Amino acid sequence: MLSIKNLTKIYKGGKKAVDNLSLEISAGDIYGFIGHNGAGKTTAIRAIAGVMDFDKGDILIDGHSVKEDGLFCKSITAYIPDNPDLYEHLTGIQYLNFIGDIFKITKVERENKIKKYADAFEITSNLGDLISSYSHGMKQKLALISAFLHSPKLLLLDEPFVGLDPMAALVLKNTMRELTDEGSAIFFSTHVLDVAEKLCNKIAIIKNGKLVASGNTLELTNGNSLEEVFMEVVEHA
Amino acid sequence: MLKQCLKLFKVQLLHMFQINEIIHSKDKRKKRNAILLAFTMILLGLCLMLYVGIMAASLSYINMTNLIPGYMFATTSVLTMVFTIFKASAVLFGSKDYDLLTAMPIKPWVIVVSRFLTMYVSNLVLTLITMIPSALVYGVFAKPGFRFYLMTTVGLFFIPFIPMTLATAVGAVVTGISSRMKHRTLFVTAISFFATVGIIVLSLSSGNVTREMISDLTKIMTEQINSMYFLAPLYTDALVNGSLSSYILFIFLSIIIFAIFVKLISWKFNAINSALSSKTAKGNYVLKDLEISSPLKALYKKEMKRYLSSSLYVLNTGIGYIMMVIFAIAVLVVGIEKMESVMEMPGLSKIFISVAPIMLGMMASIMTTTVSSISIEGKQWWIAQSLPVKTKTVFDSKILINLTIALPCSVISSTLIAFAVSATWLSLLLLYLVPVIYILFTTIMGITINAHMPTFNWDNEAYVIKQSAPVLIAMLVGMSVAGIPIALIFVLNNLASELIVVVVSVILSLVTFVLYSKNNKMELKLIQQQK
Repeated sequence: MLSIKNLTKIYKGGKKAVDNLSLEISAGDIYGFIGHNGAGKTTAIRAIAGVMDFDKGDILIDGHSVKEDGLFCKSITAYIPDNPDLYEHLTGIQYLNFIGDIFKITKVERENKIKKYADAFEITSNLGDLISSYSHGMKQKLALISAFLHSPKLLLLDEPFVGLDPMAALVLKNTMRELTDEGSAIFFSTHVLDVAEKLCNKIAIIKNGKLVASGNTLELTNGNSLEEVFMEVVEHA
Repeated sequence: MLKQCLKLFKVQLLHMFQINEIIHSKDKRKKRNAILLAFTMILLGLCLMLYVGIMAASLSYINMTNLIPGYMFATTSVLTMVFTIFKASAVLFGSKDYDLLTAMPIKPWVIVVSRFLTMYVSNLVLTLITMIPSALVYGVFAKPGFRFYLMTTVGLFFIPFIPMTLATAVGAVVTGISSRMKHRTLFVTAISFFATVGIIVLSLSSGNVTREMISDLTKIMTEQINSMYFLAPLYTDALVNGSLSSYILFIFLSIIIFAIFVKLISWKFNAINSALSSKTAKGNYVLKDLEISSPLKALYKKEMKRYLSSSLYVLNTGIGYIMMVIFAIAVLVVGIEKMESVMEMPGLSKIFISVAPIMLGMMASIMTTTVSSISIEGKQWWIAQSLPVKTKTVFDSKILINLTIALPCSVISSTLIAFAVSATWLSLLLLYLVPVIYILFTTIMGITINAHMPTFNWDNEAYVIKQSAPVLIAMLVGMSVAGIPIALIFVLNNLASELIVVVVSVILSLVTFVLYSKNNKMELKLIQQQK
């Protein structure tokens, strides 16, 4: 579903934010992307989402290059940044309807999906209020609902659990499993290693823009905790 | 406390002039843009200085040298009021760093003074631009002593205080009242608009009444200046007659009015900010039928909601169009001969039908919504970048917002003028067509400039709407494309005026087409603030 080939992003000034990163994410994968602050996780995710240009390599989503066929890639992808700043002058329902219009989702489908996810995240009664009145967690929930609206084949989430209450975090985890069961792929960054270990079937560890470890979660941890593996890999890489 | 105030002021200056970005950015484009901005500002300043110098000199040639200091003082003060009234509330109360600052051990007056100083800097620049050339012209013609130069130099720094204080006070009162209102944007927009139009109309009409009454032109002018701004007689007395008591009174009034104002604002600063940040949330929504739109319509609706959510945005971009309609109404009601005297443009009535289309175009070119429409997305720009829509669709939605506001105003204005003057069919055609061409040009050019010089990390929308480089550049370009043909028609004394208008229109249409095509080929992900 997602093929990252030798991705390199160099910032003006010469710093390599992502250095020759290659990864394969298949349909059905919940792929965790971990690394310390400034390791290059967000840059890589932004490049995949098509909101940031990159210098070398290529990214294919469902066989289509994000450089050459960006619009198609975006139409089957959902992306949520680490701090989702949404259109504050719109109400929650107006924002969801806006996303529905852009992704050309049918009326019935969008109404059903909004009801399903807004009820699950317990945010339905707040959808008529301006987003500017929302708390951080409510904005995160709204961003997640907007991402689920068009049943994306690829879901890119940057720190999706930050700001969510325990109930919402559980809803998110269940929805992630539900989506991958239906054939979607999820690639997400997190600092919560416990969640990554339990939720992800595959893990990639990045340090200073370089991939230092990746693979099946069970094989990678090999009986140890992900925290131990992470510390070991990052210290010795 | 003073140290804290200066620290805050320094932080705001660093942000306002993007000094850190210029110093620490490793991007050459960023530095190039900064140089371009500085060049544009210097050019604008020089043009204004030249204009002021010519104005002052023309007063001397008609033996009114003694009126120069008072006239320029009053004009500068009115301009400062007009420029401040729009942004005062946004600068004082609209900053996103309010929570950060109030959580620190800083007194409200320190924040108020530091913000006021930020506005003071830009107004002081305006004061220097208008007062220095006029003082020099006065110096050449009146040959005053050293005392004049000393008093002028020290006085320069006090001139902006009272107009800024008055304008900010109006802004603060409006914001204070509106903070409890549901439709606060509408209220602030309406009040600010009427206040601005009021200031302009009052300062223009004061001279118009006396013009026909008295034959003594000096007396008329003196009355006009004095009615323009209440402190003008005091300033004239101080500078022209060398009255030290008037001078000290002027300085004293400037300081005391400012101090009282700071005290009052500091008293209610937290209350107003808290009221502004409190949001209405009902939390009783029930899912209803949703209206389906095309991607372009959805983006357009989103853009329109953003536009109407900011009174500062509406006022700054709408004022040119509204002035255009007011101008056309004035032409119809007052008549062009009288307009000629009000606008102080002798000979206007003879060539009016030739320059009217471009004059309308010029008013439409003052400001466009598009020139800040990309930057205003701020930290939400990622949404547009990640959506599966073409660049053209995103830009078209922004263009349509400006056209929605501008085109009706243009058609109404052209129609009003068409009724007011007799014209040939070609003149009529140009009267309708040329303003539209200007509007299209400035709208598309606004996108081009903003896409090349976006600012997304602002923490006060006043920065991108009023002070950013794209806004200044667009204003300069807009004034040039209208000013040059108008000047040509004046200089050539209406000879081949229709040809000039047609040629300029054709050139602008071609440039607009090229810019539109180029804009649509841009990649949204490449439109990023450089780090």
